[in-house]
Amino acid sequence: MIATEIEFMTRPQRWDVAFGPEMSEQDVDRLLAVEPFRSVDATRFPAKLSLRDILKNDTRIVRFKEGDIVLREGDYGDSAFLVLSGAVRVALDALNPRLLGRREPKKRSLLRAIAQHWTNPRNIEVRDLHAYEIARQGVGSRGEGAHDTHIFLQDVDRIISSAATARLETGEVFGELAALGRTPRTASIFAEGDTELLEIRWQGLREIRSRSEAIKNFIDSRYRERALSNQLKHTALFAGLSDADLSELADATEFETYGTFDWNTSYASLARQDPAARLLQEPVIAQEGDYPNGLIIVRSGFARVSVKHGNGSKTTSYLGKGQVYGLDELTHNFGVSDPSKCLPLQHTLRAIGYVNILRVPTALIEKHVLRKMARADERDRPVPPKTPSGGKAANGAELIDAGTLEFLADGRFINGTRTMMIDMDRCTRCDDCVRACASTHDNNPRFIRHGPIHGHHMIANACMHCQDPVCMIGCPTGAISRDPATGNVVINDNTCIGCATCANSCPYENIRMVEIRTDRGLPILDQNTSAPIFKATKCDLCVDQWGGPACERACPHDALKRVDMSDLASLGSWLRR
Amino acid sequence: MTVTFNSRRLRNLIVTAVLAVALAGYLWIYSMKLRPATFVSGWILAGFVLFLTLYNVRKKFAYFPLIKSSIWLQFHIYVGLLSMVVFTTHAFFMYGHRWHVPSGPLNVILAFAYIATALSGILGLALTRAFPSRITDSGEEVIYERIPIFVRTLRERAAELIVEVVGKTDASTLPDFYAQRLAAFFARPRYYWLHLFQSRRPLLVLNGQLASLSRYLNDDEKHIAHELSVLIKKKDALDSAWALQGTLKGWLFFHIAMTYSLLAFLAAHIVVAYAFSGGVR
Repeated sequence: MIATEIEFMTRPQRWDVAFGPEMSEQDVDRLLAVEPFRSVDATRFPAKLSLRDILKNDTRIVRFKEGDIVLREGDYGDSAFLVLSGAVRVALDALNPRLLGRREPKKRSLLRAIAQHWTNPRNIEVRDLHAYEIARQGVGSRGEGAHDTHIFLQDVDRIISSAATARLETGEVFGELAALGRTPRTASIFAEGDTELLEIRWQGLREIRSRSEAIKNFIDSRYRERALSNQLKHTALFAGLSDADLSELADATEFETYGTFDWNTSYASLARQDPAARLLQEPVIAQEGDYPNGLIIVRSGFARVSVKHGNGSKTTSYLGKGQVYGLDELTHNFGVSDPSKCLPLQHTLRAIGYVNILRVPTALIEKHVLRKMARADERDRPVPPKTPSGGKAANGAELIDAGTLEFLADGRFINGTRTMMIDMDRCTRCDDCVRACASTHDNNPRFIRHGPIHGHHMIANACMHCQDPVCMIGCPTGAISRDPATGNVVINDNTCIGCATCANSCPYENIRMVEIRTDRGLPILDQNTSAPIFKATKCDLCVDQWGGPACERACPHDALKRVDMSDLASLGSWLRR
Repeated sequence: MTVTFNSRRLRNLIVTAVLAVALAGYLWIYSMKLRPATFVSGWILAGFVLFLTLYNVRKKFAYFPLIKSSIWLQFHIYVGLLSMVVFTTHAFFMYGHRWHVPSGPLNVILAFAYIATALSGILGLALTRAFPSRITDSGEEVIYERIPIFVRTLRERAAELIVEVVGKTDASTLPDFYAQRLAAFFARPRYYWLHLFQSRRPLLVLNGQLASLSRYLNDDEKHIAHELSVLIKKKDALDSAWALQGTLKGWLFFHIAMTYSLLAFLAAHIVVAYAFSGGVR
């Protein structure tokens, strides 16, 4: 009886859905004949993960026309590009956000702010079609759908003559550091004439990098040259080091990545697992009890710091961008000649989602940091307490109970820079926050006062303005972006094409697709298909209003706060009020 | 560093107490000039009432860069307390005179309006501090307006279970129990007062009655009875949320309604007071 109910299927494979389904064998042959792939030793790739298969399934050829924007400064992306033919221009100066199809950072006038009281529409999601037409002037758009829509610059010659740009020609690679490092794009790039680019998604890039010494060296040297020295310079621990010292550190620093780049796709299924199983899926970066062979600096992403507790692990803190791990142990071991007196790592460090780390060798930390800190009586220094490396006092995790830390780390709420946290023991459920939100957004609330609860604290369904904004990956028009002034993630309603890429990417389900309407409440339809027009909507932290987020200002009982999860000291003191 | 609620409360109470003493002292000194302090205290009180009313206006202008609502509320609470001191001196006590009670219909109504507003404010403050944690503890976090939808879902599921049991057995034990007890229970939110006072009686009685039927049920029926008991528990939690959230919303309606009537009578009182002052101010 039971046997007849069982059904079989082919186990899902990595390349069931290729990055570019239209990639042909001829295309792959063409790629294998050009640099840098021509120099890659294909025999170093296993049969199941051949270079040919990687190129066929993890790349696609994208064609751009004059002025098409390839990348925008500040965007997040998961792919790198190789110029196959034609050329692209890198804008060395920031371009006008309007040209890039972004929302312009502009506050409402005081009079318009007051006028909202009686000008807000009565119906939901009302849009002014005339305003769309006006807003579209100056912003070019061609193509349809999430993959084929391109925003283009209308007067390329003027931009090239008026702004500083650099030309990248056939054979040049760009975007690889941001793609692998999960960091924002540092410049906008647009096509100069008809251009053919090979887009390589991060999975393929990672495979090729790990198996090709030449490509690894190429990417690593670019990173060292362009970003690493600067990053080390801005690390508090290395403040005051000379350029020569920093250069020595940069040359010896290893960079590693852990976890899954597209962690957001498995977020929901992971959330259903029990904590122990979830923890097992977080790759270990450094293991408690191991010898500390270097200082770890989190370059991007998040890492969980835990200690063995009973038969499990207890989270004691989490580390984000710029925070260090292993310093206490290195400090203790500095100058200790007897290995039995050396202190092993006191915590385990695990990758939550996707993490980039830098590993600075112990010898260089001793030479450039610890030697300067050394004191004559350091022989008898005490064993450091079991606290997160990097100085718990500065971290503030001790103010937060372990259960809350586990909750925040497990749910990846640590990603938020302005997470809406509600103290349910103070919240009277009056919905003043929701009403305030609606009144500042044309009568449309941009969050739901609902969400996961731990103890008496709720993480409401409101955009958290994440440090790692996965929603920004893949937006075809760049409509979703960071506001340059505030860092808030905002959507430009004028250039949003309603493809739902951002809404589908947001693991927290904080972006909602809405049907837009006329002021009489009637749906606005596509003139070709008569299908409703959708727009992505979410909390914008009242970026165009005076006074900041209306929700927080409207709460009478101090129950609601927009929390920066990287500031554990502030969070801890708020939780302990 | 965030200020704790306890330290904020202590600080505000001390400041309010100092101001109350200062106000009372000022009115006493004023009365020593052999001029009645009632006009001064009256205007101070009217100013306080007006200021307290402005909080509701602030709430309507959420998008306007005004002071945070929580700071307004703190002022609302402590100015409200100060107003009680002024009201007491104004309405019941004149320096150098005996205690007296307001006389005349308008004054009596005005006094009652003020007292009702002030008491509803104090009651509201107590409720807003006591009820949220009770709602949280109930474990059923629902939006008030959606409670009827959840109740309907539970009602429909309960009815489905009864239809299912009818198909499985000839016995009418569960259908009878549903008709006699559960249909009314699931019909709408129930037991407002019992939930307001944290009574677990509705849950215990219903689940107790259901459990006592167990001996008359076969395995299929027991399984369905168990599901029904889970639904009863969920409905009980919804009833509790409905009672507590409803009260939190309801008291405010009363408080605001009393405030507007207070304002109306206050305006009339000012006109009458000046009309019949006989030049003594």
